[in-house]
Amino acid sequence: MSASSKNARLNRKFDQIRRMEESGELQKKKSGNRALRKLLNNRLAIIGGVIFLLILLACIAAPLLTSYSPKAVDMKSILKAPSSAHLFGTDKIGRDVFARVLYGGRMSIAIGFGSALGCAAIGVLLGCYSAYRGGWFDSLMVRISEVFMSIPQLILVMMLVAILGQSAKNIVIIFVICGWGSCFRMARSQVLSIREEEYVQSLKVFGLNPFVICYKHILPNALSPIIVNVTLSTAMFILEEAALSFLGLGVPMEIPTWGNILNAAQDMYTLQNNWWMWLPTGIVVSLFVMSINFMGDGIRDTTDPTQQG
Amino acid sequence: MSDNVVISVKNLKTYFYTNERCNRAINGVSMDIKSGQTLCIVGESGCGKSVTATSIMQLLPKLSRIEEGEIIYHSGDERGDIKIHELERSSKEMRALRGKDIAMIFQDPMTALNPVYTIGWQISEMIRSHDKSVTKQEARERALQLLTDMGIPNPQKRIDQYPHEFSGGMRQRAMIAMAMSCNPKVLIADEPTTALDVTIQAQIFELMDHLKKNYNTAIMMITHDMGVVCELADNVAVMYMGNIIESGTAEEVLDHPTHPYTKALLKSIPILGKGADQDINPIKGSTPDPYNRPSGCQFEPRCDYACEACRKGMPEETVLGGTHMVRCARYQEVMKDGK
Amino acid sequence: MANKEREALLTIKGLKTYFPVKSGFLGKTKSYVQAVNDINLTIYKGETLGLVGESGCGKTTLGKTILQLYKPTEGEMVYSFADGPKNLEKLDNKEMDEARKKIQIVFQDPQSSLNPSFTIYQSLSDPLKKFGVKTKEERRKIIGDLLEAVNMRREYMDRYPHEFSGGQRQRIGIARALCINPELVICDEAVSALDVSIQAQVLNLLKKLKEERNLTYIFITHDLSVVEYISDRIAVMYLGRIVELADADELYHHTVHPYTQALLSAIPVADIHHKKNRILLEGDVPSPMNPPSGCHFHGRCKQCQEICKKEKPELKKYELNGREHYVACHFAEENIQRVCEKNG
Repeated sequence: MSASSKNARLNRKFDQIRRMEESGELQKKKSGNRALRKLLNNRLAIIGGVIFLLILLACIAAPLLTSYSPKAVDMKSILKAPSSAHLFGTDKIGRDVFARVLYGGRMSIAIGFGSALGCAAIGVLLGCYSAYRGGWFDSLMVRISEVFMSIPQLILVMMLVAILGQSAKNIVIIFVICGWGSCFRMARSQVLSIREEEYVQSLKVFGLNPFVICYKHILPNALSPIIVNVTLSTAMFILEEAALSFLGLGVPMEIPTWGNILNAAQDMYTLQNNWWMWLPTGIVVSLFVMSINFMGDGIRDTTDPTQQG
Repeated sequence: MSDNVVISVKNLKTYFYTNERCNRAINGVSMDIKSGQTLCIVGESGCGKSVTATSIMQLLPKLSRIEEGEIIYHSGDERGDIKIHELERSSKEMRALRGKDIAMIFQDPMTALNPVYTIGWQISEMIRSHDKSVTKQEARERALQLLTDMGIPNPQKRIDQYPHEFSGGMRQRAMIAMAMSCNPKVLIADEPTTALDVTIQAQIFELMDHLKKNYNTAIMMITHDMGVVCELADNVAVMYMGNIIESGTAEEVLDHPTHPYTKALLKSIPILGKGADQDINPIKGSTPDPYNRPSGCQFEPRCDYACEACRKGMPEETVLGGTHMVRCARYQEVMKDGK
Repeated sequence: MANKEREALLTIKGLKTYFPVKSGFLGKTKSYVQAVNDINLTIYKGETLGLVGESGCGKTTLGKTILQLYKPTEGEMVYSFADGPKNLEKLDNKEMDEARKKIQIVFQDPQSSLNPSFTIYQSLSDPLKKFGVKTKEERRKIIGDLLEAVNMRREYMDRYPHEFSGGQRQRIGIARALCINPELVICDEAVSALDVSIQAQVLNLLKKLKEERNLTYIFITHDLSVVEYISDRIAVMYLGRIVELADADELYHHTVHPYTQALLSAIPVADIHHKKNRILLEGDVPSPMNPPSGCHFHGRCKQCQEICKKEKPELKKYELNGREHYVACHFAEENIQRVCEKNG
């Protein structure tokens, strides 16, 4: 039953395309980037993009949306449930949760995006050259990346926090140290296949500088999966930051981040009675991460020529 | 004459609908596949020769459909004539037809053989899936016989090997053994030797000749190589941009090419033994964009004989006597020049 | 043309290119793929040398070794530069650049031979810059002239590869190889991936360019009909060795080596009146990792005797109708006699 209805739908779609083709309408629509058009046809990616932009803009424009400071303690209004004065209520020392979510978002997104970019920069730089050069250098780099990827992350984080101390900057450094390996491998595998393309061989025949061949001629062709990886790992790092801060290992408590806000919900009592302290933040984090994932998938689908449709 | 026609295709149109566009991959193709004969479909990439084969097998991709025309399989038994074009792609009837009545072999045998099972297992499975009454032991014996028939050396050992242990030519033989496992009436071969070396290609041709003679199989051979056509074909259909522009017996088409495209194609290939002094004349221009086809005869922009009438529409089929058919408005002039 | 008048451009002596097959934990070399196995060959100025053979016979490896894309295991390649012959392997950096200017390559696959994210101008710009064309105007002029030389429009230099058809891309690939005015162009299956109607365009273009620019070609292909059309001399390779080398028409009319005979007979000829007299070879090409002893062809050869299994036949020079004909077969003389009798 469902198969035949699916067939009917496809048939209708085909008829429509054919009608448009025959009347010459499609000729006009042809202009514009095909990849972009395909992205716009992907409903989930569009929803993801809208949510992403909404949350991002709200965080950037935080001072315009709330008059409260995320750090201002107000002992008169402690643990207030959501109201028109405090949209998401207040926490144990009277700070406005809505303001904290917005300002915390700034920090969390910056950490997530910064770490992802850092990972990509190091991973791509090393991965490209390593794959292009090959030989012992490549084997060595692969072993090193494996070492970094095989250390349990939490232990590495605790170790590094102990050495470097707690700060937002250090968290980014830790994430980059832990995370460059996956980006390295991705860039490496991309370049390994592009390296065999004939235009690269031809550049070698001309005897061009290996760095020029590697970063100028090969890298642009390896970029699209790396961009997808950056978006997806942004989401991953935001979650990781939240998890670390929740455990108290992340960003210092006085700086609002999404993880630090959720940290307040560690005890059973808050969890059961003051739902506003964790639920809205949790929803915002989930929505944001989900929207990034949708977008990343959308970009991957449009740039992957094997996925037709 | 019509008795040995196994599959007849009439005015077949298959369109593709990828990327929100309509590509008229084949646009009105008619042909007959006869038992004990080889029909070679020849054409350049994108001319629709493979689409014709996949249409007959109902193995078209999702975003495509048969718009018009009919494909009729004359089973010759109690099932009578089967209208393939009316069957669902994954229906039980179609599945029963595939492999048992019509089998297909591909350019790259590796994609058609499952790497995790032995060759013998795959052939036995094929036999047993179409005939449940065969026991495992019988199926294995038949597989062994098939491998022997297809000229695979040391079949006793080979039957328990995996596809990756076979060389390219051996894989293609195993593939043909599998295709022949249920004694199909029709074997569709889609560029079966393009990936192989010439000495191995010669072996496969010998094998296909053997199939045609000893099993009375109808072979539909898809190729881009005029040399292959000259070697193998009983009948030839030349395709260009979704149409058969000339067809007939091998002698009719290759000896007296009447369509400017066939003629130009034959003139553009160097012939072995004629040396460096032979004249090869390229066809001007390149094949048009399938989404932006010429309005009239598809070959008109590249044709030396093009005239006003050619721009108006695809010329109708003209039968020149016998089975020789041509679709060209100015075939008479072409014929005159040929002499 | 008498042999003495010909000027050798590249002389290859005892060239071997082996690829290690590594396995195990520490990547110990287990064995070698003997891709090119003891090749002696002279390429003369202004000729087209066809290099034919089936897949895995080492013809592409030989081409890429000449280009220094692979390092030879043994042997030497001597190229005659303007200031005297030099061994290609013992060049300093400056001389190496000079060599790169002289030897270029046209690749097989038009799909991958151009960088998809660069325009034609951008792709060709860096090589030109390296070889001393400093200003943008000059580079645009050179590239424009080249595109016209390969029958394309100047304006195409600002287009991306996906806007071109396969034949056009192949012509751009030829233009790129010619951009620094090389002497020797290696055409590695340059027309094999093209449709037949386009193949002829490119073949004729290559012939024309050779006349205009005094080029020397090494034409690597598996298609004997094509190679016979374009080459002056043809070398037939089998499992890393040259088995027969002669003038193109000579090779066709007086085929001496049993492998060449079988190869020629197996080729489908696009002529329906062509007499079919196929010599069917048994079995497959053996693996170059573990080639047979003695003559590599002995397992598939009808003339095989004890000596073929033990001794490697050298590529020896014979005279046929006053022209030189190199064959590597223990029974070459016998075969020559038979061939001459047959053809009168």
